[in-house]
Amino acid sequence: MTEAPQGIERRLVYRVLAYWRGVCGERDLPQRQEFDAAGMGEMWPHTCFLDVAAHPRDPVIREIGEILGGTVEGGVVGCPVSAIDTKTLLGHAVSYCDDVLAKRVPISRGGEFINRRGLRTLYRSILVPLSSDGAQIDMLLGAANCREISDL
Amino acid sequence: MSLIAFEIHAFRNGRWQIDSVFDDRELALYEAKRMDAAGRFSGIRVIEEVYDEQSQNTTTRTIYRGSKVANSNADALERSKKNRKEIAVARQRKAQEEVLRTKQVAAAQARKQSNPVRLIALFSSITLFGIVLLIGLQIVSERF
Repeated sequence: MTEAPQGIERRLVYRVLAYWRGVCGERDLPQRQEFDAAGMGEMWPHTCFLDVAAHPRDPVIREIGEILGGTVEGGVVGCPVSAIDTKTLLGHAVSYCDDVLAKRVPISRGGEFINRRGLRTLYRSILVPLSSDGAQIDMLLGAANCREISDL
Repeated sequence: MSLIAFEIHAFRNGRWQIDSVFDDRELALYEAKRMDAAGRFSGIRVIEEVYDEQSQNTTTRTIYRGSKVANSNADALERSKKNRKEIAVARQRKAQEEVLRTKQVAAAQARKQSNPVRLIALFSSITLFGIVLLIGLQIVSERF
């Protein structure tokens, strides 16, 4: 096994990807039902599920973990992606869902943004596709975390 | 400004298929190496894709090839080298044997031609034939 440089294996996005791969096994796409708080453990509060089946052009937040949900004001369950504040971690984490739907593979992105409190924020995120029938993507699992940099 | 993406491609079902996409080179390479070590796919590679917003051009290059593919290629090359060498040695040996056999045949023929027993037998045959011929001629001349 390759040695992990700088604790990559500890990164949330890597752990989510590894978990998704593990659930996939030999399949291309796993089902939504195979992901739960018990299985995902510490990752769960950082996740969200986007409903694609009913809203393919503008997926809707169906479920969201406590920590990721805490990065936005008010409730976002039921909100379409286009309505999510882009100055939030969630806004950045779901901003490339179209790419995941087009490529049908996990995509991880990171970067920085200025949050609502005016602080520079570094983030990492990942979106992975899910499917009930193993062919048509009907849900996306997202996960993200961030840290604020105060030396702006 | 340029946008960079790192795509992991896996070789499955007889073709390269995109497996995952990252904007973090380190993470992409780490994941590709892990996948390669797992051995599920016969090939793993990482493609760096750079999109230049100004020119709207995309350039791609392979920044990682799984060792499985590289090792397989190296093994095939080594086998091919070994085969070529073996064929060359066999050809050389065959040519040497051919030369040796030709020499042996020539020597045998030379030996055969200069054999004293053979010469004596040949001489005896000619002499005997001469005597028989003379006797025959004498008989013929006495009768007529």
